[in-house]
Amino acid sequence: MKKIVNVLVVVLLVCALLPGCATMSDQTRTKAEGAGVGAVLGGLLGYAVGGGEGAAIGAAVGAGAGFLVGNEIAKRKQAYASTEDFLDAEIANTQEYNKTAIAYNAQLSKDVAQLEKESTALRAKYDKGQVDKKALAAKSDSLQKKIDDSKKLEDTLAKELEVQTAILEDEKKTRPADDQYIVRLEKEVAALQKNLDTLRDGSTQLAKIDQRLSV
Amino acid sequence: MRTARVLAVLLVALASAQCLHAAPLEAIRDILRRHLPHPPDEAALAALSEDDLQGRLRDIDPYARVFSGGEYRVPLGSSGSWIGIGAGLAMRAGGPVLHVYRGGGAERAGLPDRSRLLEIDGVSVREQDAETIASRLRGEAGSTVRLRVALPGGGEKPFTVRREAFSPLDVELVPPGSQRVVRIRDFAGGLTRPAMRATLDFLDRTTAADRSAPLIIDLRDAPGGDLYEAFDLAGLFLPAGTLLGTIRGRDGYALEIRSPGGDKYSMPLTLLVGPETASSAEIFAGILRQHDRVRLVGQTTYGKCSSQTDARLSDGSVLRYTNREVLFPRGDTCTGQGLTPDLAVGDDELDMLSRLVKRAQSLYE
Amino acid sequence: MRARTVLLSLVAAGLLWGCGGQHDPRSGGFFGGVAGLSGGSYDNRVKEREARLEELRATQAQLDAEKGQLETQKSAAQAKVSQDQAKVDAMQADIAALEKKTSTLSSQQGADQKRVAELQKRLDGLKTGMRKQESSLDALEGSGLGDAEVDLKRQQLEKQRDALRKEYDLLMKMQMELAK
Repeated sequence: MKKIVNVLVVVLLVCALLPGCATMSDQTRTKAEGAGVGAVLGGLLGYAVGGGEGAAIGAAVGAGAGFLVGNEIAKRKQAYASTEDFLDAEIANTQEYNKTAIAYNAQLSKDVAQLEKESTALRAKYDKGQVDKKALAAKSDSLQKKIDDSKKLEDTLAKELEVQTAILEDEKKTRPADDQYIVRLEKEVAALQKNLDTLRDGSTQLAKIDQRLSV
Repeated sequence: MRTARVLAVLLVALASAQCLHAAPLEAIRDILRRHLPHPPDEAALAALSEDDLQGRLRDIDPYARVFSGGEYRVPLGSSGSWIGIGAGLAMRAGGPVLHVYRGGGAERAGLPDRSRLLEIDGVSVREQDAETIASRLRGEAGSTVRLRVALPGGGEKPFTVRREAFSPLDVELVPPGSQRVVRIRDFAGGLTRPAMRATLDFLDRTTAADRSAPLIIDLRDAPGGDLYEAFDLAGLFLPAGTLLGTIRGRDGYALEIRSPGGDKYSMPLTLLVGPETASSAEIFAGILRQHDRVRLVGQTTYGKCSSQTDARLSDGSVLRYTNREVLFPRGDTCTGQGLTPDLAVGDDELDMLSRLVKRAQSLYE
Repeated sequence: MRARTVLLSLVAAGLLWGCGGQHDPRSGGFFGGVAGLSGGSYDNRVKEREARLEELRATQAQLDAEKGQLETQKSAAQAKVSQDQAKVDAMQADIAALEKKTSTLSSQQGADQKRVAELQKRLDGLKTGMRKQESSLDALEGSGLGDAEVDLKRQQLEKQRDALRKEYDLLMKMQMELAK
């Protein structure tokens, strides 16, 4: 009995006191401790039941049962630990995700704002351009009109030129070369007539009906 | 009393005003009374007044007229020169007609002589009087005018004519020279006979035909002219000394006119005549006809063988009045009845020279 | 007896030690385990974590929703920008075409103007020429005759002059006779 207790105390103390126990995996420790407790409880039971020998058997049995209980506990702890690990991982993932998401969304917002700015600028450009376009179209139309008018004028002038050229050609054909002689003759005849009129003393015998209108 | 005096003064003023500005009616009456070939009716003379003077004058003498000092032109010389299409405008019953003169813009544009005018620059001439049409035809030298005419042979045609300075020939030679057609439009004192001689000489020199080939003288557009010139022209075709006619006036005035000496032309003659052949032209034609020197082709002439003279009045105006009657050698006159042609033609043919020429030529075959 | 007490106290100590505060299932050995299991601290720990995860998940969902919205917005904005750009591009193409057309028309009009000016010049030159011709021909006093007719005109004038001279001389002679 004392021996068992001593052993147990030593084990417990050692485990408790020595951080080195921590290095042994907690699972192993749990199971070991469980076994220890079981052994003690078993021993107690054995002692209670069977004296000194019983305690040893009881302890052995107890250790086995304790080990089983320890195992159970270890399993449960394991489960919890796994769950915690899982949750922690999830939490970390989600945190990470959210962090990324926030940054991404911020960027998206920026992008949207930027795009809207672009859109506004483009619209302004378009509006201005429309004005320019209108001005150009008007200029183009006025030029076209000038060209059409010019064409009409040109046609008129060309026709007029044709007519005048034809007339001039005709003129050249039918007009005689300078004949100053005829000029002199006409002047002489007119002068003689005038003189004769004074001599005739203005007495005329006119046998005529209405004169023609010269056109 | 004062009112009467005022009235009297006013009346005197009015009367003297009348005397100063009115045509000298008494002088006119006096001239007419003394010089008309036949004495006028006194009542008609008395009826002469400022009010419609021209009309009342014409009642007495159909060819009498008073010209104001400003509008009177001495009837001397040829038709002068002007800027235009080179034509004469005549108003006929059917409408305005253009007599196209040789060598003018109208002739050069191809406008046929005696075309009936329909439109000027696209606007009709219907209902317009002579002065309006003439002013529409006139324009600046170098300008053109579009005319639409009815052609003598039928059909209508447009012509573009250029206006230019123009003076007509005193005697026209109608081409081709070979058909020997000359045209007289006016008997211009001292000018028409020498022009005729020049033209006939020109014909002789430039055409193959000889001097004895028949000559056609177109008198369809000859309203008359200087009486003595008509006699002189007739004398060109009749031997010297031939009695051409007698000029008769008031108080037994009778002047015999004989053919003068000088060069003569003896070729066969045909005259183209019509209702616008008048006065001196009729006298010329009648003289030659009475001597069997010509044949007349066309239509009956106008019927005026009287002659007028001009007298200047005290206020500067001029009275033209009939003072002479012309008698042919046989003693008859054309006044009132005109000369009837040897070969009569219809109205359409009268305007077609080529047809008339053919008819004239047929007379000598 | 003493052994029992010691053991019991040890167990109690162990248990006590096991309880108290957060017990990490990864440590604490058997007693820690029992304490954590029975004290519910293991449960609490899990619950804490679950709650935190819940929160985070909620935020995540929100962020996802936001992201979805923003992405829709962005693609809409992008589409709009493309549209606007396309409009602007089309318009600029129009303007370029118009500018080209205008410059072509401008040079054409320039050429036309030149041609018209030339025609006008030629016409004016022609008219001046005609006027010159006219003024030199005016010296002919506008006889307006063709070549053959000039001859005729000349001859008519000569004959007229001669005839008038003759008449004039005659009349002068007569006058002088009368004066005698």
